Amino acid sequence: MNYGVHTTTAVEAFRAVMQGYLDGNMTLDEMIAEAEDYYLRQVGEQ
Amino acid sequence: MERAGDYYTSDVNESATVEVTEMSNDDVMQRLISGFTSGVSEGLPDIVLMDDYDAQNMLMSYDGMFAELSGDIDMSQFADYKVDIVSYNDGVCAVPFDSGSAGLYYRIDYLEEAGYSEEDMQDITWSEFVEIGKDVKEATGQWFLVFIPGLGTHYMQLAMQSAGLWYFDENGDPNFDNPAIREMAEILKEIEEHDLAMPVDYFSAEAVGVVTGGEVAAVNSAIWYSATIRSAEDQEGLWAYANLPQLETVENATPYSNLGGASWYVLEDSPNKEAAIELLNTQFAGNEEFYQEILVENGAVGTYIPAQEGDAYEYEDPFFNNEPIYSDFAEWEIIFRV
Repeated sequence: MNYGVHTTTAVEAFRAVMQGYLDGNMTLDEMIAEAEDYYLRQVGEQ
Repeated sequence: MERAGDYYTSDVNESATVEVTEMSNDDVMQRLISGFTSGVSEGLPDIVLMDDYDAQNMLMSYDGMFAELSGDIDMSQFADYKVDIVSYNDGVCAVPFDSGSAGLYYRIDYLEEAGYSEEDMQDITWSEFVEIGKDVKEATGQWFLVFIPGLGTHYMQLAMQSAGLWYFDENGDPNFDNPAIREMAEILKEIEEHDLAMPVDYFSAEAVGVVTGGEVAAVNSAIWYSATIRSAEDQEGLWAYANLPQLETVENATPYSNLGGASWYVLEDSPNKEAAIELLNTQFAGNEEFYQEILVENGAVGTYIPAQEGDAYEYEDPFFNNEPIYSDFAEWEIIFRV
């Protein structure tokens, strides 16, 4: 498997938002959407 | 690398000196990036070990900074998937090193106290794994795991790779809304809600101390983690392993996966580039005896194919109840890759 160019950023994205889901402050759908938004922002800045 | 350096300086190049510096992967990245962006190569190593997850990012971002090695080293001797990971622009920019074949390590005594046998730990699902964790914690008072669920991306990665998925699709676009992430997120929530994991960063020295101190009952990790567990000499015979728990809702999911793994790179501008390549070629791509040694002494399962048929792979490890841990994890890796 080729891990691609931005695995570290993807990991950062999930780590940034996952606790909110675990604490019940967002749904799973919202968590995934927030992680993707975070990822796209970070990649856009790189 | 220290052992490889010993072989190199005694058998190949007596005038060479090999100095090894150990640091975290994050620190390695920082040092390389600082050197590459500033143009100051002083203080950079000749050879560097980098996590495979960082390979494509570094090769693309710092194109030309790493030596292309396929002209000097026979890459057909390595597992294809590892060569793919370190290939860039039709070149191969690293010597593949260790396998990240993954499994479930568990404490036999704690599990027995909760009513579970070794047979019960084979071929379980992730939801069954959580139920076992609840029982173990209730029966023993021990933590079941050690990691912070909110930072549990290594669990997501284990889950995704067990089903042939990753954070990205074939075009490199984010594939975050995939069924492995969805199922594993719910598992992480269960682990969090039932307080099954001691909340310590999995990658920290503190977490290693928690495991070797006998404070947790299970760890899902790669074969390289076996060296950490084995360092707790007083726990010989108390640990066993099984294949990973399996996803239930994901098509093509298996109980086999991968976590981590790394490869050796030579810096293009290294003043010792020729010797660095020679060291990698003669040891990491040519010394089967060396691989047998680091397998037993360090738990390092190489992806150098000729070394995978040595006696050490069949070693029945007394620490893990005389089970052939290296051949088992190596076999799981073959199944996983197929």
